[in-house]
Amino acid sequence: MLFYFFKRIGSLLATLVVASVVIFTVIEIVPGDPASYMLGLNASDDTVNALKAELGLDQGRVMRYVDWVGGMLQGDFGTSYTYRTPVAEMVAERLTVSLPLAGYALSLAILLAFPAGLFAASRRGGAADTVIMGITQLGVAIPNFWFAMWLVLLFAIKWQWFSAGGFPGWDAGFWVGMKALSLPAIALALPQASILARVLRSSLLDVLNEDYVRTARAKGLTRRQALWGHALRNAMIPVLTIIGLQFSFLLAGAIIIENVFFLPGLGRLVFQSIAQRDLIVVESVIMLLVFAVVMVTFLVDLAYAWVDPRMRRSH
Amino acid sequence: MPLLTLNAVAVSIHDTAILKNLNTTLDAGQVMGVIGESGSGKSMMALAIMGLLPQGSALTGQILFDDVALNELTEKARCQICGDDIGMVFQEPMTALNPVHTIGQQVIECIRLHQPISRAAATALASETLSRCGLPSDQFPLSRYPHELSGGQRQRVVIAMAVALKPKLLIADEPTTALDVTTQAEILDLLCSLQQEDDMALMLISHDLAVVASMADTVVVMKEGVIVEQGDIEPVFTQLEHPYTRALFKASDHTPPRTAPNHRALVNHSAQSESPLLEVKDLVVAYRVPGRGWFSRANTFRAVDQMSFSVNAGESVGLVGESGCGKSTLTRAVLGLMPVASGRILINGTHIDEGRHVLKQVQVVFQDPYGSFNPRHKVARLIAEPLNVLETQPTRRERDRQVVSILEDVGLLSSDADKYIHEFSGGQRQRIAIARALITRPALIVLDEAVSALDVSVRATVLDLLASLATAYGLAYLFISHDLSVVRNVTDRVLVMQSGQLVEQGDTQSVLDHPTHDYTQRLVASVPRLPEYAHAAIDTL
Amino acid sequence: MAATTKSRFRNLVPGAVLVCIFFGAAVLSFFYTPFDVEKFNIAQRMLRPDAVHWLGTDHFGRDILSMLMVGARTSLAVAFVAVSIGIVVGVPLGLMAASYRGRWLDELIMRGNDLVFAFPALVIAIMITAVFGPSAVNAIIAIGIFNIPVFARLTRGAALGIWNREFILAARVAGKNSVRISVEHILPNILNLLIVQGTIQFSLGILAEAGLSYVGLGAQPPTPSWGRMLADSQTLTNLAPHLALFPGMVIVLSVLGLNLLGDGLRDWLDPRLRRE
Repeated sequence: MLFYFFKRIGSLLATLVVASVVIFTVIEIVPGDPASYMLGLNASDDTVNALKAELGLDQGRVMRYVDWVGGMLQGDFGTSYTYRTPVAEMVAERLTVSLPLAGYALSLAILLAFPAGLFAASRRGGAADTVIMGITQLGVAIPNFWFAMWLVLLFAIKWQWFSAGGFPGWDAGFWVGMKALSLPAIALALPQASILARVLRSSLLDVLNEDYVRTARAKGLTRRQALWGHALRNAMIPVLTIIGLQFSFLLAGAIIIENVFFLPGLGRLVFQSIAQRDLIVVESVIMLLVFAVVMVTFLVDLAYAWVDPRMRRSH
Repeated sequence: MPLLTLNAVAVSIHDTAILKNLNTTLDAGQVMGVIGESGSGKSMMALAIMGLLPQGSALTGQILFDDVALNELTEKARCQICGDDIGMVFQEPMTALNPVHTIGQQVIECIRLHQPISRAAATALASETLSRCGLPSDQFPLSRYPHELSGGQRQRVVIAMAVALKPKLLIADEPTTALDVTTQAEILDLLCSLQQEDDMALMLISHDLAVVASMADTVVVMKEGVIVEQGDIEPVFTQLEHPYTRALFKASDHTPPRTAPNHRALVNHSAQSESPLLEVKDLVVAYRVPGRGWFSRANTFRAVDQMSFSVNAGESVGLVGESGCGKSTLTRAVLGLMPVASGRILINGTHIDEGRHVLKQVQVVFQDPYGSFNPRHKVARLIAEPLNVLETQPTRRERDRQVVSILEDVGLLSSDADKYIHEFSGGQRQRIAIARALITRPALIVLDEAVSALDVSVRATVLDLLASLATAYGLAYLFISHDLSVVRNVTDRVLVMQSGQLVEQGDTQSVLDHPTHDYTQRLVASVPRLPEYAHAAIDTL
Repeated sequence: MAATTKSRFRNLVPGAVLVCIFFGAAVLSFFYTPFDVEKFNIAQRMLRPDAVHWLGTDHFGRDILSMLMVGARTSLAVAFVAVSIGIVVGVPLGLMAASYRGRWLDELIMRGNDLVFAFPALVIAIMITAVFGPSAVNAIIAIGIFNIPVFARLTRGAALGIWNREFILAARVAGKNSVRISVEHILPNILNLLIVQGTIQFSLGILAEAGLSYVGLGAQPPTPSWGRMLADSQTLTNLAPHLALFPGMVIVLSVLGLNLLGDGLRDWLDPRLRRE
C-alpha cells in the first residue's frame, strides 16, 4: 500500500515537472517581449531594459524557468506585468470564487446523479429507467453556457429570484455568496450529473451480471440488498474515474460559465490577461489548473486502492 | 416425504423452452447426481430452484421444498429460505466471490442475514465454518481478500458460505470442473464429509460420470432440457437402459482405434535424420518477477526447469500436470514463442531459432474453441494463416485448393471456407483448429488441452479424427492434458510434470498403472473412477 | 425477437436521421443558403420568425437559418478534423503501447497520455490563443490534442484484452510480428469500439467548439459559428430570445443525434446483443 502510494507520488511529481516545462516553453515562444509591450511603442531602450531587469526578463531562459518554478514553490508567482501586483494575490482572490463554484457544482452533480443512476439501474427497462435515461441523454447534449443563459433569463430576469451575475464577495455572508453561485453551479452540474448518472447505471448493470452478485443472491440477499451490498462498491471503480475527469471539465467549464455570469473567477482573470498580454498571469493560472487536475487524478488513484483491494498490490 | 420435489417444472426464456416437464424428488440426507452435457439445462434447473433465473424467464409447475412451493413465494420469503435452508456452490470459484470484501465479511454476511446473533458470535461461527472447510484461521485469517487465495481455496470459501447455517439442501453446480484433479479430489472429499456430518441433502451437478458415480445415491440424466432417465444410481449405471445414458458411457471411455502411421507419410519427415523429431535438452525457461518494493530486486521464476525429453516421428506423447506446473510455458517454448534461458529445443536435429522452415514442422491446437479464432476473418483465411511461415508463399489458387482439401480431411465441407467462425459449434471449431494446424504439413502437432472444453460425445469424435489423421499424415502428437483418462486412451508415452520439472516419464500404460514418483501416485489416485459395476456394464457395450 | 430488433434500432434510426440532416445542411450551404450570410441589413434586424425568414434575423439583419447552415460547416468541420487527429495519432499509439505492454515504451506512452490529460481542452486552447491568437484552427488543434489520449487509452485497454486471446498465439505461431498482428487481428476486433467512441468524441467536439467560439477562442467573425451566434445573442436574450434559442437547439440536436447514433451503433455492433 505504501509502495503504491509513493509510486503514485513519484509519477505525480514527474507529470508536474514536465507540464511546467511544456507551459513555460509554449509561453516563451510568444513573439515580442512583455516589457516593450507594457511601455508602448515610444519607450526608449533604456526604460525597456530597466523594466526587463526589474521583471527578471534579462536572464537566460533556464534561469528564468528555475526562478519561476522556485518562486511558485515558495508561493511567489511573480508580478503581474499589467497591474504590478503579485500574481499570487490576484490568483488567491479569484480562487475564492472558482474553487467553491467547482466544489458546489461537483457536489450537486453527485447528489443528482447517484439517486438517478441507482434508481434507473434497479428498475432496468421500466418506465422510470426510460424517463431518467431520456433526461440524461438530453442533459449530456445541452451546452452548459446555453443552459446558463436560459437560467439567467428565467430566474434572474423574468422571476428575479437570483441576480443575473456578479459576485458580492464572501464578506457579504456565506449564504449570499452561495446564492450568487447557485445558478452557475446548476448550469455546470446538469451535464456532469447526466454523464455520471449514465456511467453509474451502466456500471451497475455490468456488475449485476457478475458471478459474485449471483453468489450473494444465493446467500439469500434480495435483489435490492445485493445491489447495495455487493454491486455498488464494485460499480464505483469506473464512476470514480469519471468523477476525477469531471473535476477537470468543471474547472475548464467554469472558465466559460464565469463569462456568462460575470463572476470574478480564474476564468475571467485568464481572459483579461490574454487580452492584456499579461503572460505571467496566464502561465501561472494554467500551471495552477494543471496542478489541480493532477492532484485530483492522484486522489482518484488513492480512492481506487480504497475501493478495490486488488489495486493495493503494486504492479 | 421428500425434501425437494419438482412437479412438472418448465422454464422458458424469451419464449424459448429451456426446461421441459421436470419431475423428480430428493429425500433429506440423500445425494442426487445430475448428469448431462452442455445445454442439457442442468445448471438452469439449479438456478430455478434458487430463484435465480435470468430476467425474462418464465417458470411453470411447482418446486416444493419442505412442503413449501418455492416458486410461489414472495422475493422476501424466498430469500429467507435461500442461504439458510438451501445453500449453493457454483462452478467458477475465481469469480464467485466479491473481490472488494474479505472472505470473513462474506461468510459473516450470510450468517447475520438469517440469524439474529451478535457480530462476535457470527465471526466465531464463520471462523469455525471456514476451518471446517479446510481454511483454519491461523493460516487463512478472515481478513484475507479473495484475490489472495487460489482457486481451490476460494471454492472452500464459497462452500463455507453455503454450509455455515447447516442447510438441509446443498446444490453444487459443477463445483470442481474448474479445478485441478488433486484439488478436485479434496473438494469432493470435503463435500462428502460435510454432507455426512450435517446429514444434508446434496444435489451434485456434473458432466463427469465418475464424479457422480463416486458420490451419489440417485441420479438424474438430462438432455436438452428433459430428464431422460432417473433412479437409484446402481441400476441406472449397470443397466444403461436409455440409449443416451449408454452413449454417454461409451463416449466417456472412448479409445480411438489407432493404427501405426502410414510408412510413406513418415518417410517424408524423418528418414533423413537419425535424431528424434522433437528433442528438448536441459531446457530452462524463466520469467522475471518484478520486486514488490524499490529495493527488492526482480526475481526470476523458472517456469520450466531443466527438462529433457524427446518425441519420435509418428509417436503420441502425453504431458500431464496441474495448472501452474509449466505446461503452457513449455508449449510456448516449443512453438518458438518464448525466449529460452538455457538448454536446447531441436526439431529433426535443427535448433528451432534457425528459421521458419524449422517452425513449420510444429503446429498447435489450443483449448478454447471460441477464443482461438479471429471472429472477423473467414475460415479460409483462418486456416491459411500458418502458411505465413513458409519461405515461398503459395498462390491464391493454390492456397484455396489446400484449404478445401484439408477441410474435407477434417470432416467439414468445402463450402465452410467462406463462413465466419461463429457459425460453427465447439466440436466443428476444433476441427477447424486442426485444419489450421495441418496446413503447413507439420510433423508434430501440440494439442494443448485440445479436447478439454468439449462434451464427451464430441470429444470422442475429435479423438477419432486425430487418430485417423495421425495415420494419414504421419503425425506425432504432444498431447497436453489434465485429464488422465483421455491421456491413457490416446498416447504411447507420458511425461509427468510438476513445478517446472519432469518427475516421471515412460510408457503410458505402465506409468499410470504403476506410478513410481509420489506426485504421479497422488495424481493417479485423485482421478475419480467409475465403480466396478459400471465398468462391467461398459465392457458389455 | 421482433421486440429486440425494434429496441436495437430505437436509438440508431433517430440518431442517424439527425446526423444526416446536419451533414446535409452543412453540405447544402456550400451551394445554397436562403440568404447571403455576409450581407448586413439593419432595417431587417432582429425579426421574429416569419414566412420569409423562417427562423428570424439577427442584430445585423442576417437570416438565422442561413447562418445556422453555414455554422454547421464550421462546427462539423472542427469536430471532424479534431476527432480525426485523435484517431490518427491516438490509435497507433494505443496499439503500440499494447504490443509493448509492460515495457518502457508502453510506460512512456501512458505517462505521455497522463500528461496531456492534465491539460483540459480549454486550457490547451487558452495556451494556443495566448501565443497565436484565436482562430478556428486553434480550436481544432486544442480539441484534437485532447482527443489523442482518449483514443490511445481506449485502444490500449481494448487491445490488451485481445492480446490475451488464443487467436493471437495462433498468429504468432504463424510467424507474424506484432505490427502485422496489430493490423490484422487487433484493429478489426476493436473497430466497433473506435467507431462508437468516435461518434461520442465527435459530439463532445461540437460542444467544445461551441464553447470555445462562445468565449471567443474559436472561429472568428465573420465566419458564422453556432457558439459565436450564442455569444452575440447573450445581451439580447431579453429582447429577442429566438436569437439564443435556435443556435442552442441545433447544438443540442446535433449532439443528441451523434450520441444516439453512438449508442445505436454500440447496440447494433455488439456481438453479445446480436446473438440474442
